[in-house]
Amino acid sequence: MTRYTSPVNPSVYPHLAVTLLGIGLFFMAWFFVYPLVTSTKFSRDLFKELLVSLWSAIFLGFGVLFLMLWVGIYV
Amino acid sequence: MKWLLLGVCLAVFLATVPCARAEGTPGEWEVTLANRQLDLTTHQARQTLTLTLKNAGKKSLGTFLVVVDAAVAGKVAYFGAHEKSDAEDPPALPMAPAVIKGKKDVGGYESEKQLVQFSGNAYILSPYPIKTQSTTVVLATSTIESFSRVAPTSTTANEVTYGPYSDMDPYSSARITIHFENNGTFSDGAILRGSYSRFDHQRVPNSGASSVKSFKTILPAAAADVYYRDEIGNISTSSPSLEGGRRGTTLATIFPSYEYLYHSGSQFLLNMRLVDHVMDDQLVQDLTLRIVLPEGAKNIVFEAPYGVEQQPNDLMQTYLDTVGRPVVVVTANNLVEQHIQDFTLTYEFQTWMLLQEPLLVIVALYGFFLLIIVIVRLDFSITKDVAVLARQQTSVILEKILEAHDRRWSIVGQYGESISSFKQKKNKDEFAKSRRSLDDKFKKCSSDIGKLGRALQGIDTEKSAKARVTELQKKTVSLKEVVDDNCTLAERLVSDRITKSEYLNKEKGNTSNVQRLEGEINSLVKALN
Repeated sequence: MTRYTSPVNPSVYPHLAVTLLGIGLFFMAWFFVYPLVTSTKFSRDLFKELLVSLWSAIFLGFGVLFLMLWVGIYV
Repeated sequence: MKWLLLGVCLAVFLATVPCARAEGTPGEWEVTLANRQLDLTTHQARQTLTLTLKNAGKKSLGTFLVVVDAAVAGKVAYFGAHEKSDAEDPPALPMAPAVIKGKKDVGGYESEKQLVQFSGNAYILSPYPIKTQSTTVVLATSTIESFSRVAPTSTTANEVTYGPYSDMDPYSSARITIHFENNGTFSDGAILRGSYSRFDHQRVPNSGASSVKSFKTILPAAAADVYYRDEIGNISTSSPSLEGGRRGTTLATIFPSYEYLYHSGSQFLLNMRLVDHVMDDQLVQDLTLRIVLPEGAKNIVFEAPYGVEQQPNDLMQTYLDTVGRPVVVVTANNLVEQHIQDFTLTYEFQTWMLLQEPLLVIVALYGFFLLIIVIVRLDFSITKDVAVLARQQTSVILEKILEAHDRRWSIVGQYGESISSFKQKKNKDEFAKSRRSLDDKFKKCSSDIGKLGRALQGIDTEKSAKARVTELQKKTVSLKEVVDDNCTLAERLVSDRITKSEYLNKEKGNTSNVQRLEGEINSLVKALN
């Protein structure tokens, strides 16, 4: 038995939270702007929307997790 | 002859420790010298017995019985025994407690001292005859209101000494009471008479002598984010805990897991104190220990260093939980400082389960995004602006046509490269192969544009765009013819069916055709943009 250490060092939680949330928000902004502003009904690409929103969800998901760990919500 | 130091710690208001039951005759022990010290300086009464034993019989004896007065039998918090020998690590011995009881005055004013009354036995309660014995009672202060005398009895400052008594029979008893001042933190101390005055508490000297004004807690070195507050979040001293007052306060800290948690693969082991130091001379009447394990922990085994009651496992549901986290619940009563010992808890936990929580967030967010994708595609418009829609549709189709045209245009360039490479290497098979593949690609692009062009014809939009697309297709067909001719010429040249000068002549004519068509096509594309 060895001492258990967290797979992610707690001292990098703030950096991870800010970086991942930043990237996630960028993708989210892109996702929201794309179907509503830059494209028309005919030029919409479903695959692109699915891909951008998936990346956004992944980055925001991990970002939210590290944000919660940073502020002391030990999920 | 054996020397025994029997250290018995009795908490006055406490309960249960398993007692060794007298089985058969107590044996032929004879106590030659017995000294008892009763420490009443705090809210816990500690008794220390030092016995010198002699085996008066002929058989060797394996046990020695220590008895406890029925009046306090249920209040013993802890007792231990060891041989007073030179051995470093004296063996533990099975024990049974002795006689101690405490009582306090019913009420006192805030500025008053707290008086307590102790009642017990002047003699050492023993199933064996004791040759010589004495008892020393150490009190908290030298203020003694009264004390019973069982001659010989002497008193010095804060000590009352009973004995020495000689040749006492087994189970000798003489009740004594001692009434004295003790401002210790009794869990049910004298009730406050009258109302609490903050002014008196702060200004009158000696006020609140029996209140808890402060206490010192020792925290582990790695503790972080410590907070201490009462049930409404106060951390002030607005009402100091007077005797008889019970206060709910929370003292919380966070420890890094590497201090206490060990693992090997999916096996985890938690090694922590079952009860930790809260204050000096602490007395924990009811302890509930709740250990919240991560979601998905299995095969949980709790091992306590002493007798505790393990309740059925609980389930806690908090942020990002699905089925809930298993909670080990352990309760214990009457714990003193000697109970600050480690427990071990082993459980199984798959490390990949750590990903469950971020995945939950990801799925939730993705679900939200999918909902948006669907909502955006729903059309709630009451009137449709046909012209605007047609314009949007046209621009999308034109964009696609131009994209396909760009692809086709680059293929035309590749024909040229293929021809010059063929003229150098003179490899007919390779040329035929590359030509076939380029032809296929070219046809694909042309048919794409053809489809898009037909789609465009179906839209009610500008006629000029439609005409330009048709024109573009025509011009491209002509261009392709010239390119095909170039290929045929090159084939002939390589197989020497025409002379070089003939080839150059014809190629020159083709080149000028290509340039003309290029110009026309470029102007069409520009117009379509």
